[in-house]
Amino acid sequence: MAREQLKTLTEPMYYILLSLIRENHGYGIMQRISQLTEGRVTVGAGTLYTLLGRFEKEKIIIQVAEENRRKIYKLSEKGQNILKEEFERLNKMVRDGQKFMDYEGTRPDPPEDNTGTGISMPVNQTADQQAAAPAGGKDRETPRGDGQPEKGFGTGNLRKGAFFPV
Amino acid sequence: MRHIFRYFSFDTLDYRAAERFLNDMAERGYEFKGTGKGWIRNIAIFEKNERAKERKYAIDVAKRKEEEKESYYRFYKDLGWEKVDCFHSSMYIFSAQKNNTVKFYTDKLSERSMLKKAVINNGELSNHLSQFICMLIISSSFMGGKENRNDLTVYGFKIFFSLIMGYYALKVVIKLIYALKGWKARDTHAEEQIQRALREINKVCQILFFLFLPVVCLIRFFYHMWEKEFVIKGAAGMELELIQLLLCMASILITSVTTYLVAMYPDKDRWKVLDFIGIFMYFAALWSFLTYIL
Repeated sequence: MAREQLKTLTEPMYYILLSLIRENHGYGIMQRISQLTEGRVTVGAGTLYTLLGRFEKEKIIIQVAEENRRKIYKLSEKGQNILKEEFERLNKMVRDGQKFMDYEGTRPDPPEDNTGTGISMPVNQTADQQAAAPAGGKDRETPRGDGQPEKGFGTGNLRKGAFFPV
Repeated sequence: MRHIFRYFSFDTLDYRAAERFLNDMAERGYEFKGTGKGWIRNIAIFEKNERAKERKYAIDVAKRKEEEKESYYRFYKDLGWEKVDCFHSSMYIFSAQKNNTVKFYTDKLSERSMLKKAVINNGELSNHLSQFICMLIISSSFMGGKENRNDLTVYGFKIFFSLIMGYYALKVVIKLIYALKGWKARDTHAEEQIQRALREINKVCQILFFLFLPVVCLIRFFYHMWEKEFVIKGAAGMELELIQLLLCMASILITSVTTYLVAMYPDKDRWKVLDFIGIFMYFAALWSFLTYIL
């Protein structure tokens, strides 16, 4: 189960691993995190201790030294891979988001609703609206149900909701 | 310096209530000094002073190995949380200044895994289950049969015993409820009620444990005195009752005094010997009582 959870790191986990690229101890990790995020992410003492214990058990971090009863950790090779993967994943998420966020002011606003029906735009005008929006994302390029027959065995009527209304 | 004692018995799953209790006491100006170290464990010692209002408390539920402890305490000390005490070797009580910005638990997931670990891995569930089964086996030896001994003391003992059995059964049940609900430390109504009931039963059991035997001994002593006409015949034939009564009274006196002394001077080991003597006397009296019942 612990394996499953580590496929995507939570925010505290990500920042703990980031601050362990250089060797560091508990108090240093806490300081580094609050420096990096300017106090946005807070990691509790107990949470940090349990997370460090778990990382060490899974050999994501290794203990390099112990001075004055303080354990000093560093990222292992496996941990670096995990951090890199997570970094790629986050980057991809940002890029995907940017396709929708960057309009540069060309996105037309919907006109005022003065028909009283709750529909803000007459149907014949929606074609212009769709053309104006940038074509991005996978869904638009390969829409489902585009006339081609489904391959393999069809499920007939036995879909979700056939027996139990959802 | 004024010290007060409060009853302190919290299940590991109930650690939030314990935190609340300690913080409430701190707000009222009582600084938490530690829990009982002698035979009586379920008490908390508070000291009245002004510092207490600037402190806050948090509890870590875990079992730490002996060699790990040093670096464990060090880790928390760096972050401003100082270890105060360890209760039943599974709840570590930490305290910090109120202006300390480092929180204790910020992640629900690690909190849940903490509870799960405490109950399953540290063997709390299996402990309580085995205790419950042991008590069931013991109870079968005196619950049935022996109609000739159904006097008041035996009835009282049976009720007391069932109360303890119910306590362990409830402890198992609450753990199973938490397991089914996915170890969320939620303060829902039902769980809160069960935990409160557990605390109350524990309190009653502890008081009964130390009061039941002396009361029974006292009653039996006076009963025999009346029956055998003590004044006329003297103490002949009543040595057993007399010894039992004296053992009980003395043991309770010794244990309560040593509990207080151990709490006041935790660095002196000699009180602990006294504590053991006290509890040994108590069990000697209990043994003679059990031979009467069985």
